[in-house]
Amino acid sequence: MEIIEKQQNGYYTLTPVGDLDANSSLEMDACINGLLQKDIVNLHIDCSQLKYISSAGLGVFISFIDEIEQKGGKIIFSHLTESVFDVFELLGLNQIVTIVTNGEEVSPLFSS
Amino acid sequence: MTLSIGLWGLLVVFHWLANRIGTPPYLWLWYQVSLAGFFIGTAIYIRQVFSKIERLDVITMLWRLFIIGMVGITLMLAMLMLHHILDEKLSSSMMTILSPAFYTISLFALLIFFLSGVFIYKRFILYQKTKRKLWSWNIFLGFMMVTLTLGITELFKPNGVPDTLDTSIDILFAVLLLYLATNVSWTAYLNFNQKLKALGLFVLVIVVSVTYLTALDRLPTELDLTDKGIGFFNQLMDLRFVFFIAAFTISYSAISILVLFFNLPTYSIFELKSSEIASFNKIHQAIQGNFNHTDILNTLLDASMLSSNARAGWVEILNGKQTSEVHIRKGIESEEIQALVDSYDMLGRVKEDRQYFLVKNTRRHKTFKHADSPFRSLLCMPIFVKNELQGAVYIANEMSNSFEDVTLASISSFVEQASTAIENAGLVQNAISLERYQEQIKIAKEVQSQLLPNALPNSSVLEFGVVNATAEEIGGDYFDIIRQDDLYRIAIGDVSGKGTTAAFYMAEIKGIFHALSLAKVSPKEFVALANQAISNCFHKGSFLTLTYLHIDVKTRELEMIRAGHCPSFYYSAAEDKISTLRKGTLGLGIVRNETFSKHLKYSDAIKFEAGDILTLYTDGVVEARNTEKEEFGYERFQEVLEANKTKSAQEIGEAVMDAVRLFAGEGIHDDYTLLIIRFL
Repeated sequence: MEIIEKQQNGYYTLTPVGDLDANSSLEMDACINGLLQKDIVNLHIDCSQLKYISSAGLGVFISFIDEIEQKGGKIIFSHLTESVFDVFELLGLNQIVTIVTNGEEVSPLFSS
Repeated sequence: MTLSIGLWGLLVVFHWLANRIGTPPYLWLWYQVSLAGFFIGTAIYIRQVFSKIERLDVITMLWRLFIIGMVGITLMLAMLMLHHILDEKLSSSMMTILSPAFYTISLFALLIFFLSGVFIYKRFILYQKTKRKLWSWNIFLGFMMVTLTLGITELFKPNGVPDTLDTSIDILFAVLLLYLATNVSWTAYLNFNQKLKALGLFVLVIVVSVTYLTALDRLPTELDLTDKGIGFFNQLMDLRFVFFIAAFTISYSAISILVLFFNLPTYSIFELKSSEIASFNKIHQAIQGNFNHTDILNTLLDASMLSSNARAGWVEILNGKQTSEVHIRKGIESEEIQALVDSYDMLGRVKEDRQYFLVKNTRRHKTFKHADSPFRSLLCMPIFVKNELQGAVYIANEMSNSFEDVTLASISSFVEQASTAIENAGLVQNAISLERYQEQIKIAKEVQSQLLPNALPNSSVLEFGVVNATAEEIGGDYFDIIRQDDLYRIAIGDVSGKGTTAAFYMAEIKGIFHALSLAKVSPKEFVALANQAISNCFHKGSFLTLTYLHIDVKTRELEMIRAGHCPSFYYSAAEDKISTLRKGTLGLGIVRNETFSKHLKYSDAIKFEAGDILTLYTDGVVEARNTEKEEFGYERFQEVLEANKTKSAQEIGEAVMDAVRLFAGEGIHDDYTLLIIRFL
């Protein structure tokens, strides 16, 4: 898996490409951790190129939700494919994180 | 031996008789026979004594020969003294008998000494026996017999043998002697000290031999024996046989001395080679895996230093990719090593070149000259294991240009041997730890299998069916059924991730489930409390998906909460329809504070009837993929359930898994659990 990092106006966009499973979750974990260390707390996860996410992959995001909220930041997911959304929904994650359908909605959410 | 002594006695008697009554012809014949018998008997006896010795030890054999000679000389001196003492006291007629007896005893000693020499040297000559050597020896022996016979005949018929025959016999003897005396291959197997000892002993043997010969020359005079008095015995000395055995012993000793002397300087090479072979053996033993790394490296360094005659050496081993440390050092101080290592990146160089690095003179090298090291020659031989640089052996010497090509080749082959040994040692170590690991996994698996219920509490109302397997040796799927009178508490869950961590969390869940069951709480309360417990126990990022339900067999009601787990299937017999039960909340351990209760609002409640079927499962079932990476999915699942709705709970479970296996083939990579409950 590859993660494309892009600095936006007021937030960071991470685009995981491929599968996010137990192995690649370590990479994602290191990536988010690195950003939080630099006090970058507004994260946009672009899931348009995410083909598959396993429970361990979800675990990475789950493990950072509390910390991001405590630091006054937000984590927003966008462009979820159907199968990835199913996994989010099954677990109930859609109840606690913001999921939007397209990229244009992201920016205003961070500024609010 | 007895025969020889007997014959010797006979000879003395003959001699005495001859003096007394003259020499009648019949006596001559007997005399000849006894004499020949005496020589041959003694020879056979001595031959036997020395061929019995199984192991040829050159030094011991030479010692024996020397001692035999010394005993003989002592005997001779004793005879002389005895003669002097008795000469004054006894009458001359007695002395005419005793003196020849003394003389013959001395002769006997001489004969034994030289015969011993012949047969001891025979062992030397036939060392590393070949057919040709044996043949030439046998010819030599036969020749000696002929000489003896001829000699004895000649003794009594002077001029009976033509001079030409005599000369040819002498020449033949010389040729045979020369040929046999070149067989000195045993010298190669002696070390320096042994060679020195052998050299000394050969000199002593020659001294003893010469002493005998001179003594025999002078004995008749000393013993006051007139020509007539000693008679034939004096002529014995003229026997070519005696001369030949003496000549043989002396010549072989002399040639051996020469060979040993000239071989002395080469001893070091032989010793070096044999110690190299010993080192090879040691490293070979190490390859069998009985040694640890330090032993192997120690042997390697010793062998390398030995074969290069170097005074100092050390072994450097890479720790990580960048750092290395000196593992063993000999004959050199750490600071001296540091100075050399700092001067030039030898490890980097050998890694690049993939071969040894040699400095012929550090004083003339552009960087080493600054090190001001007492070591002028320096060799860095890299150790590669599986093509990876592991470290290097360094050999240093104070003289410049001190490493020859042969030495480099030897060291290089030592290193190869050692690297094989290191590789093997590593493999053995890995195999051992793998075995240990597997053993522990086996134990973990056993413990885990005991965490799952081993008997299903089937009753007149409920019939259970279970199919369960783990992708790895131990898995993270959990299910449990607790019966409290009419109430069944059932849980099925899946810890995020696979393998050992998941399995340990599963054990915790079992504890939580059983503890909370005792508290007799409702499904909602159970889920809330379980979330709290798991939030406290699980590592951040790990969570549990769970479906929890109560079945009351008395009121025939069930209440179920799905906590992030796969939705369950419920077949209603009355409606003949399969529906999906998905009411519930988040997975447990995701939201770890009191806000969790906000999400805990809904549950499915059903009044069940006979023929209804509840299917609980973990995601391994629906997520099994075929070769096209397509998931088994919910639809196929429902179809199988639909097709098997009349079967028993266990049969339904197995039918589903058969369908999954058929679909995915080898593609089931997750743990999976199916729990089917059929209501009766």
